[in-house]
Amino acid sequence: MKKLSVVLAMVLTVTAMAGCGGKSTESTNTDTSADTETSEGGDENEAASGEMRDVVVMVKNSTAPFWISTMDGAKQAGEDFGVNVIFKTPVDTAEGSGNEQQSQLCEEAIVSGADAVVIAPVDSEAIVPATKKINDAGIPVINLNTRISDAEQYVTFVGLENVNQGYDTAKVVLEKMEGEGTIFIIEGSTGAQTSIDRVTGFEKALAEYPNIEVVAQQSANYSRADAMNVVQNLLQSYPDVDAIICCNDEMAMGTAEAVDAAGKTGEILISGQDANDDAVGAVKEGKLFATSFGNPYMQGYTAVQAAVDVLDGKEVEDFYEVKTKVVTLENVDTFKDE
Amino acid sequence: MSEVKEGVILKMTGITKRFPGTLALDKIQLTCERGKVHILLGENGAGKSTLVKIISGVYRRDEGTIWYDGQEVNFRDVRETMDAGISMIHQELNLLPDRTIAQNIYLGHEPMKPGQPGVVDYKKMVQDSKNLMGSLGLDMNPNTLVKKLSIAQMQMVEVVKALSKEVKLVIMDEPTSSLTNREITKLFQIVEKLKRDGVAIIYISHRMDEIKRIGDQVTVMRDGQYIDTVSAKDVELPDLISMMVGRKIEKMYERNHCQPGEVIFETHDLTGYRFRNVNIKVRAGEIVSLSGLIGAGRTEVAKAVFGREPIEKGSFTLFGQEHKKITPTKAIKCSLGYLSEDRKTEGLVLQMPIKSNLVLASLKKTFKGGILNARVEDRIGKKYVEELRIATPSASKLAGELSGGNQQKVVIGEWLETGCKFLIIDEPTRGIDVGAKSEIYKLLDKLVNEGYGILMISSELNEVIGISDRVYVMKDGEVTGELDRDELEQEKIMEFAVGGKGGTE
Amino acid sequence: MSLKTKNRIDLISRFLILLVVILVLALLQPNAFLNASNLSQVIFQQAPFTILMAFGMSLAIISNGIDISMASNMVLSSYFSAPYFQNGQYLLGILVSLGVGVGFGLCNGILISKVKIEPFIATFSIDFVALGLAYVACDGVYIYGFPDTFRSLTNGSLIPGIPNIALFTILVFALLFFVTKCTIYGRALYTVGHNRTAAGFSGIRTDNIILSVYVINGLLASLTGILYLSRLNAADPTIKGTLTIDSIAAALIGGIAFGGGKGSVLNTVIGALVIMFIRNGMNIMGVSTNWQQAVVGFVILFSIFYERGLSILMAKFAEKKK
Repeated sequence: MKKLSVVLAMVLTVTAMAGCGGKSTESTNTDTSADTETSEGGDENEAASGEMRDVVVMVKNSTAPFWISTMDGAKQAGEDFGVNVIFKTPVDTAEGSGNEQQSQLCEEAIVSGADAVVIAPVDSEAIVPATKKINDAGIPVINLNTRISDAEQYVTFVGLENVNQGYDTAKVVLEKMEGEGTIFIIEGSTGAQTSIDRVTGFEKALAEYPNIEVVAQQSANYSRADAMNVVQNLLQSYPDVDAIICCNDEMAMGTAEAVDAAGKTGEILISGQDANDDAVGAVKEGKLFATSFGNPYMQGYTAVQAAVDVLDGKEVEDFYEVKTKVVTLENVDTFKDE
Repeated sequence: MSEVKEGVILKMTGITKRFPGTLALDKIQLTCERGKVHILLGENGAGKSTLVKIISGVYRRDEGTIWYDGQEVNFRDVRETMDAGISMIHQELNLLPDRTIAQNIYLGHEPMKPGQPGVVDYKKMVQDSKNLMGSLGLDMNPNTLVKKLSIAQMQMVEVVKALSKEVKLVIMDEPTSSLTNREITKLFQIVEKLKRDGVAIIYISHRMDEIKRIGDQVTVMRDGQYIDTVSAKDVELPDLISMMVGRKIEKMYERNHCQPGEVIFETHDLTGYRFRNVNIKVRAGEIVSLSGLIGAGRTEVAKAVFGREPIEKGSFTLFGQEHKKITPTKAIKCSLGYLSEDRKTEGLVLQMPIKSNLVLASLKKTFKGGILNARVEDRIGKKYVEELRIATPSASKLAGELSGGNQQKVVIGEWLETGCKFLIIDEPTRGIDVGAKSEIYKLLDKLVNEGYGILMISSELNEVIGISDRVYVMKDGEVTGELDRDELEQEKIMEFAVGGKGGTE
Repeated sequence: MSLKTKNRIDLISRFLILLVVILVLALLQPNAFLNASNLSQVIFQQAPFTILMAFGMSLAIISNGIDISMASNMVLSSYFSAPYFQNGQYLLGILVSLGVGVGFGLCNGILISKVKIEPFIATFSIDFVALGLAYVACDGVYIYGFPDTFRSLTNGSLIPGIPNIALFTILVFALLFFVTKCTIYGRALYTVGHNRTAAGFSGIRTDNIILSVYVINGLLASLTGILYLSRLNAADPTIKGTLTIDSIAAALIGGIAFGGGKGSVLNTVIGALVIMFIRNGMNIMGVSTNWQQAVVGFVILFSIFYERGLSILMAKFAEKKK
């Protein structure tokens, strides 16, 4: 009885997690494994053999709006180009365990006979052994969103340049400050590549404005609640800060609430990244000064498109850059259509 | 075995041991001779266990000298004393339940295959175990898993384990506390054999009758002090008792038998886990004993009546009300109190104050409206500390700080406070000092004279004979006999308990 | 030394730890840390969430269990009820939130008391179930923006100077303190924590007591969830954050020991404040978040050694008195 309940609970959990992806389809087709040997060579006949090709898309998690949008794009591309898009995502979003699960999913992809693998690694270094296995199995790897540290591992990279995205957003904020004042930087989880890149971009922009001083730089773990506490605490030391630049929108929204609680809405410029729906709404309301649209839908779409090109033996570029767009009050209603 | 079969093997003088805040041993002396049984006698807390732990290397002394086997020694740990031929049989069982008897006996010194160090010679181990047990007159299969054994059999495995190495000195810490008479006889045969082999034995016991039966010398300790060493043959038991408790105990078992009242408890073909068709009854004003060997199903009957184990068939009547199913909460409402044999885990909450334990079974009755009242609790605490003469400076002390006898009084008080009229008491004096025992007996006597009915489960025959009005004897889950007060004799009880003439072979 | 004196000494000494933390931070940051606005912000705005969750954790630990699932239960109940609060259907929102929270609490309680699964394993599994369902329900869409009436639940003040959230926490504290310390239910809870078997033999319905603890935790999780919605102005599964760990840490630092029966909800408040002040102080000093984790870890370790040292000291003192 005891054991049964535990098992039941586990099953429930797994079902819940699987359901979480919502759009994932499990491949049961194992026959394709024979084809994968030749697929890299881009045998045209293969496509004509009637067998739908499987493109495995592995994103960082299936819970953040950003990735859900990415998956939507990938799915659309799958329909447009006639390939099976199979999603495999880790349940765990933490650095270490997330990577472990992704590595396992890579092995699963090989076993299930994927024709191409699109991957956005949780940990850009630690994923290398797993991608090596995929390459060894003769399956092409398309790198999405976050660069794998070893460029040998992927055929092409699809994504935005996080450094540029950070730079563009920061630049808009710093310009608005007219080149003077103090700011906080709110980082994401320590060690996360996106956070590191975006901060690098912030710093690049800051170098152009010598009269702007970073008075505090702290991590809020990409979490709304953490950001609210951290910013409330920081405001105690620096109540007159002019701007707060955050590494994602969840934290920017937490920051906005902290600023609101301090009665300083409108006085402090807040910026986020990713253009989540609630953040875009906040830009409209004037609670947030800026966020940045990373066009996740386009990222997902382009990645699958690139995968199909590779399978078809077409020439592919090293880098498909998906352009980002800074969203402010000026373009908040139109940025998606531009 | 050693060549020398006579003479002193162990001599300890001026042994002192301090623990933070207490002087556990104060200049104790002890001399053991080869081929002799030296009995250590003393109440709980007298320091016997500390002393033997120093001998076996568990503790190190603070002061004093130890001479062993002709030289002054300074053992640092158990391994060293084991190598020197000192072996200890612990009171609590230290066996691995999921290993076989043979694996347990040779645990830590398994015979290795010749030329293959690190590879256990299992065949040899089993054969050696068989031989060893055979030489000690035990008939058990060495391949049996220990968890399948009865407590008494496990205790015997402990004995065999202690003797599986070459020994010169064996320490036995209350080895008979969980043995039945049959096994006690066997153990004493082993002791005789060891004596003939010239092995010295230090024997800790609470049981007075054992002293005369196997003892050569007796050393009495009290409160960490050395009192005296006397010859077991010449000393009178009452003298030993007064040496132990520091005062004279007039009479161990004192009863004022009264005219029993109406039947307050009766079972009707009660059947459950490990017992069948039990029909017993208890009247108000009676102490009725449930006797028998360990494992005869006595405790199971009690637990079923209290609702801690299921009743499969039959029923029982309590104060005129018939029950087929019951829970502890309901049993308490029906004026039943149950004192478990395992006071420390099933009776008391050791980490709570005495007064809180006293009100534990009657929370709803004592605190109307569900709100605690410190004053009421203090009053109840004070009342029982005085009435039952619980030896403590205050009822706010933790129950765990009390001695066994006083803990038992707290549990009795807890049940009296519920207003119950019928008590089931399982092993009322287990682990309780001689001095405190007679107090418990007096208390039980007083209760039945006030109209309580008491069903007592006891493995101590002296106790059963000493204070019962009536005795039921159980064997293998069935009641095999009923004896009245004037028929009570050890022989007769054993006859019913083992189902043959004479329980001791 | 009586138990009461011992507990009192223990509590006072825990309070001293809190004072030391505050003192050190005040010395290091006399301006930014030691001012009314910062202190009230930590005590009245940030700490209540950790305190409320730690109350539940403490009750579970006192009953010799543990409740890993509270934070996820909070996330889930807040997520399901968020749309109703957003539309101003407060009663419905509260009912949904309580239904989810108490429902999962009941699951925990039944698994632990009736099916006899270890509390850690049972709540660990329920933790996954609740968080997983929350992500399913969320599907990447954050519910954002609540009516001002709802938001005044946390940022308003019925009593001037004390935000409602703090007032609520104080009320919960008073209620829990009274129930655990002054009623026979509380006595039964502590008894079960110390020795479940003996409690059963004394006629206490141990299963029901244990079941009730997890139901209360579900209730606390659901109420905390509502307050979180109001504070963050959003329903977002990431708010689970470090709440589980923080509430265990708060209980331990406050002096509620694993093994059951020890400590009270007052200890919990002290423990939670220690953690929140450390986090606040280190933010102010600009120390990285990772260091905060390490420091909280050190403080937990310290409090365990402290606990041992304290009991040895008290034993020695009691001997001398004799």
